[in-house]
Amino acid sequence: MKTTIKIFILSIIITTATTSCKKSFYNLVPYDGSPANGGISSDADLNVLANGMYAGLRSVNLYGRTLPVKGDLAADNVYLKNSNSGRYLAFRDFNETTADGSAAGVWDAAYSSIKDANQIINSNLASSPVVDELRGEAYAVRALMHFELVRNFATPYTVDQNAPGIPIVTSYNQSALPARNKVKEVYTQIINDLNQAYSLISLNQGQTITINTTSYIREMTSEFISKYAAKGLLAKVYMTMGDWNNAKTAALDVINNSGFSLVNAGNYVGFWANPAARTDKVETLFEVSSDAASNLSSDQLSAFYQQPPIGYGDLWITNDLYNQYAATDVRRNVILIGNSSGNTVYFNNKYSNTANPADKDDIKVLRYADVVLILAEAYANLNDETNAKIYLNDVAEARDPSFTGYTSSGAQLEADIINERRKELAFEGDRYWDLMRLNLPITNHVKTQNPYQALPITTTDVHRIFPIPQAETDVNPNITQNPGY
Amino acid sequence: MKRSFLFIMMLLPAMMVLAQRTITGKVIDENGNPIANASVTVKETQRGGTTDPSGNYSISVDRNARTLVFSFIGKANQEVIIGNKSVIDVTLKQQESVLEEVVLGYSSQVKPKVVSSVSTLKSKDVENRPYTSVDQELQGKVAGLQAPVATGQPGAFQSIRIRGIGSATAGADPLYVVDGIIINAGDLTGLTTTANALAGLNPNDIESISVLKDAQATSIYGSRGANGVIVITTKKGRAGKTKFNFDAEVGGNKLAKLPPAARYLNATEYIELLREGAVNAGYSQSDVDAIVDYYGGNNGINTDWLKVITRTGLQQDYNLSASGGDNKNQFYLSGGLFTQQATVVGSDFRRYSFRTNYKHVASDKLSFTVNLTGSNSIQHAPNNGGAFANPVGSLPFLRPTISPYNPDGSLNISTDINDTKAFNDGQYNPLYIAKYDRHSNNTTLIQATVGAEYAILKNLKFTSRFGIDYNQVDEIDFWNQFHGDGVGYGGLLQTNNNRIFNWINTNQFNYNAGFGPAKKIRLEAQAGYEVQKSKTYGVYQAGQGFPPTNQLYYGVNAATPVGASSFGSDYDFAALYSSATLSYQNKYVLSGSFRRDGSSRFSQNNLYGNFWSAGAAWNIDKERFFDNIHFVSGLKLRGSYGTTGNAAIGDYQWRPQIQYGVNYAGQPGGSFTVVGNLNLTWESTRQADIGLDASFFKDRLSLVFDAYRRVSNRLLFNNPLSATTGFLSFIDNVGKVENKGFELTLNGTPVRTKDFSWELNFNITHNKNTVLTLPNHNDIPVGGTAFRLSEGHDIQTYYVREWAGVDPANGDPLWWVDGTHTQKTNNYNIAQRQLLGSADPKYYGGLTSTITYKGIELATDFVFNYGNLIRDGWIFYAIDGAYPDLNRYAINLERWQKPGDITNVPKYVFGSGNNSNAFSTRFLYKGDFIRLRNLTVGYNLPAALLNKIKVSALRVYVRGTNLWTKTYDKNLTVDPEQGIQGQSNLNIYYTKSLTAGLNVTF
Repeated sequence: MKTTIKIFILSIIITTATTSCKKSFYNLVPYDGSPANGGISSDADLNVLANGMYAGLRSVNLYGRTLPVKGDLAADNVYLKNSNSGRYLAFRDFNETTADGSAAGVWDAAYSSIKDANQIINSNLASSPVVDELRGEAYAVRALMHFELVRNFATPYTVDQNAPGIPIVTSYNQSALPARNKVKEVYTQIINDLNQAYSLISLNQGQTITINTTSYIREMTSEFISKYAAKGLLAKVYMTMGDWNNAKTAALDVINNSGFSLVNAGNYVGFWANPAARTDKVETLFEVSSDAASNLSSDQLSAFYQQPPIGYGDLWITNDLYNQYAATDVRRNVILIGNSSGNTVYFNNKYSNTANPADKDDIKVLRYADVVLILAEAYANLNDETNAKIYLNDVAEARDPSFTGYTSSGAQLEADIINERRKELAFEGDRYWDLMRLNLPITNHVKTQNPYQALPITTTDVHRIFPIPQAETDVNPNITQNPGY
Repeated sequence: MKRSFLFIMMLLPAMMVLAQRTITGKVIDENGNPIANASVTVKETQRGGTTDPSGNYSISVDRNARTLVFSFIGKANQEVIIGNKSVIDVTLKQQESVLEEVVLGYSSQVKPKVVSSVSTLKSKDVENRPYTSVDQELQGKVAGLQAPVATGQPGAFQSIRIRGIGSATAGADPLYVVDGIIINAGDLTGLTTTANALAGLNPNDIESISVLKDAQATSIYGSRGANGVIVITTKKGRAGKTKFNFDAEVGGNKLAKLPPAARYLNATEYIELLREGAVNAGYSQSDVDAIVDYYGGNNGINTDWLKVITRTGLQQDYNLSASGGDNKNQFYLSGGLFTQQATVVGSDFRRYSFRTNYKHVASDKLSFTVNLTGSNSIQHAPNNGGAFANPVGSLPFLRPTISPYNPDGSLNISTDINDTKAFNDGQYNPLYIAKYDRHSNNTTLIQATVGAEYAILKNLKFTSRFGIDYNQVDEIDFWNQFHGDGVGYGGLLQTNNNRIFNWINTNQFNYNAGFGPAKKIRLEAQAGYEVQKSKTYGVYQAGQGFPPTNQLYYGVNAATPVGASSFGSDYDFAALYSSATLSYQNKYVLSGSFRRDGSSRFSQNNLYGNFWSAGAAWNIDKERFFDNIHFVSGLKLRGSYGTTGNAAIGDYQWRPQIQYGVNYAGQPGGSFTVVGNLNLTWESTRQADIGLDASFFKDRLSLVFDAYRRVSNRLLFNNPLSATTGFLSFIDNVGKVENKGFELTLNGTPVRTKDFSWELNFNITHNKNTVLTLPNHNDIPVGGTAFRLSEGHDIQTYYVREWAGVDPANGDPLWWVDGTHTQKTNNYNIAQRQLLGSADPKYYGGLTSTITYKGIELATDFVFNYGNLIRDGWIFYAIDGAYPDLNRYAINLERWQKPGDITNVPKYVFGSGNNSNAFSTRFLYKGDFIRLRNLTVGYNLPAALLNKIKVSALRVYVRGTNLWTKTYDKNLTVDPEQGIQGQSNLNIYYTKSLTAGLNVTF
């Protein structure tokens, strides 16, 4: 009996000691991660990281909601209805503070995406068609994020290219506390990255490439950055800089060589209603995917526009914008008309898939119409009004079959182009940036529509650019704050 | 035992032949109850037998027999000279002068030999209270322990800090040990607003709670001891007559009184302010009228949302237990039902529990124990914070001109933008949501230990224990399709099912021996080995598109599955530990402990850590020179020093990781999302403690005083990074924080007569927290809070713009530009933030008074708190004109109206963008309070009466909790108890309960 017990005791001790004394006992591995260092060993790994990088762009702080909302709300296209869910009031009131969550959200999310892109760009995988393709797309994302940052947090290039821009980040360094690069340095970096992207990306929309390790066939849909999407972004960057020669060259490359076309008037409403990715080179150069499984749920942009009970319906269209559209303009067909306390009010219906269980609205980042209008504006600025009007009317007439075309010239032509951009790209987050690069006051910025109250924003309003977030200035002694914050 | 008894029976005939005789008799206790299985032995021969269930025995003795020894567990042995008696009846008395044992980690110890700082609560302190979990009962009861309530949600997580906050971002809650199992405490749910694993444990099953505070007590828990340890021991059976206990308590929960400034506007006031605001914003008269009309100024509705969302909640608690046994087998059995409805709609908790604790003594060397408890808790917890479905959010976020009902009495769920009574700005009808949305957490808890104890030698004992702690958490989150968050989905269901399995194996040797002359020196030592592993596995599902009924909220009814995933998280620890106490005649005591811990939570570069402590005690009262000092009945000086660690961080955090699940376009996506830290290790805390235990006038007055200093080093901290790296922070061991203070506990019995007695217990704690070092001596903002770490300041110091009042000339809000107070500004951005005030109280404690007159008792528990600032976390939306469509706090009525007005509330401007509502010292309030936490009036029925109905004790009582609270800031808009961080989050309101109860023992 005693011996049995002693053997029993001994066996307990030996069993537990041997199972747990080993170092491997402590080597528990996570269920949802792999080591950051050993995580990229094949083109398939790189492809997964590329997907993760694109998914980052869906953040509510980037294209998921904040960026497209700001581009219209801070300008004159939409306003917050009186009873709203309390979001983005600073875009309406121009009273941004350094503690504001929206500005910090953009800053944090954009740099997080830059980090994702840098992981791909700087991976030590040898060049191959797949690796080059993915690396090229990462260059484009890195450029796009720097572009959004420098537009949001720094003085426009057209106002002062020597002003403090934002820190350029091209590699991961955990202890980095970077100072701000000048605006022009940031634009140089963006251009270099987009040129790299253009030379590395081989696929046009609709083409495919096979991942070697898994034989997975990756299709270049509108949800990824194709060769000409990268070029189109370059055109947009040059436009933002007012570099019209280069803008023209880049836009012409897209128009002459990409095979893209504008959506025709008959398909316009269907184009917006359909949330699926495109491979037909119609209109969408690049959009950020949302689908049934991966979406922002109630934080989607569509929920912010769609009326209750499906969405919050916080943003309504200003009468000023609505009145720009001719009765025959198909773009009016994505605007819904409602009634609030006896007033006619207008709702955007470009994003209508909040409640669609099968798919959600993708957010357009670059459309072909945008590139065509960039070309028109470039020609106008280069004093080639004939060509300017050709491209301007391409868009205007595609949207309004009864329209006979612009015939203006000089300053009026340029104003017409800007107004056409406003009508074409409304609710896609673009308008504010036209007013910024042209350094125009926002005279029709609406604080409340019913009763109507405007809050005109002058060109000297310090709140036109975001503050550097408090969290950044708290931790990074090398960063300087924007004036007025 | 049985074998020897049979042996005697077989020998009986032979003994008869040897002219032996039989002695019979009965063994009873002091109350006259028979004692079964008491042992009756002949002292000279060591032979004997046991009593039968009626307490009778019969034993044969030979002529050598002189003395009979009667013994029974818990009773004093009694020896009777046989002489020529043939009938010997015996009354066994309760064993006296047994020194009370204090449960420590891995051992227990008699009071004189305790060198550490330990506070103990007994079952009577925690049972039959209207709290869902035992950790909610500790506030004000234990010096050095701070447990402010954060929410009135039943079953909510309760934060506890012992001797201040020793960690910046790692967990600062104590370690919980139940019957030797280090359990997974805290909130184990994934979708639930707040939940508490300890709520699965029935407080009525608890025998004692030891709160281990200083390093001498906690260092034996090594890398997890730094935040203090709460050791819970459950009730065990005792040999003797089987005892039954029945407890019942029934009552109601009502809204605890809110501070006066927490009132919101009624419709008339709201409209008055709205009109004034619109005029101030410069609108024309017709526009002002339109605005007033738009927000319901003419719809005649006046809804008091507080009344709409609150109710009287039902409170019930029933417990039935049986305990007893004999010398070989002892048991405790119990079953309990506890239900609590909060005062806010949709919030409740219900628990069924049982417990079996069993011990079998196989021989004088070997015994076994089994402790088993199981419980099922169902909790309904509505959203909190800014969620549109938060019922408490109705108050700030719904105008009084919106109606919860339609004219026909049905629930109003209109979102029509043309209907001024409709819910068209996000917030939903809380009554509809409470009725048709579902936020349920169904947790099944099983805790079990199987243990064996074997005496290898007389002085050496081996104990092995295997325990499991298993939580199965099943959560349902359903948003109905007709109103609220679920409309856009046609109804959305999310389910989360977590299984958290935690096992622990402890093997320990205990050595106990005397040395020296007359063995006056005693050594008690423990050494052991412990392994623990906890595995979490969970499954999440989501589906949308439900049939048009509100009854079918299971996934099988969903048209489209929209989410499915499974996940897990594991950790393990292994340790060698030992402790030893060397004592001389209970007068001088030396004690020390050592633990070597390893854990998966720490990087492979830093796997193991050593923790130790040393302490000493001097029982001065046992010195000769003290014999003549009669008014002092006890005096002990203690001191200890040692190290502990804190490992309360997430699993795997040290590993730099690419994480998956960031999918895109239907393909898997991954991203480098965890920075990791290849040198990550535990926080290391060193603590010194000096204590004095004294008692006077035959223990009529006693005091316990402790002064401590604990310094936590290598803080586990989310060290902020420049966001340009792509990360906001990484986990790091940085900085040093100090907590020092004192604790004083006084127990007194000012009056004690035959019929009347008055007992008072008072405790007070002073703690001063100071951040000593930070990396590069730079201040560090604490993410998600308004706190900022700065050397020389408290760890919860607010970094905030300083409010400078309202400009009497124009009603503008003003802030001080900086701390010099030389310049005011009406531009929020220009005002600089300063380190001002802390959320940590300077003093806190409690006072308990119990007055007994004959059978009547009156007990009161007060708790108090002094010296902290608390923050209304949502006042941003509820004050001034920035959100004129939402309701306002009534203090807005004191707004500036005309030049010369002196007030603290700015001019009310409709849609104002002047940031007057943004966070500043204007919204920090004094958190000082005194609260009557508990008031009980009870009556114990007299024994004479009870004997007739065969009941040994019967008590009836009525109890009120939270009946009275005194606060000290007239601007306070929330309850003064707002958790450790002192920030309100539109949580379920606190409860004031009134209950009546019955305790019967038979």
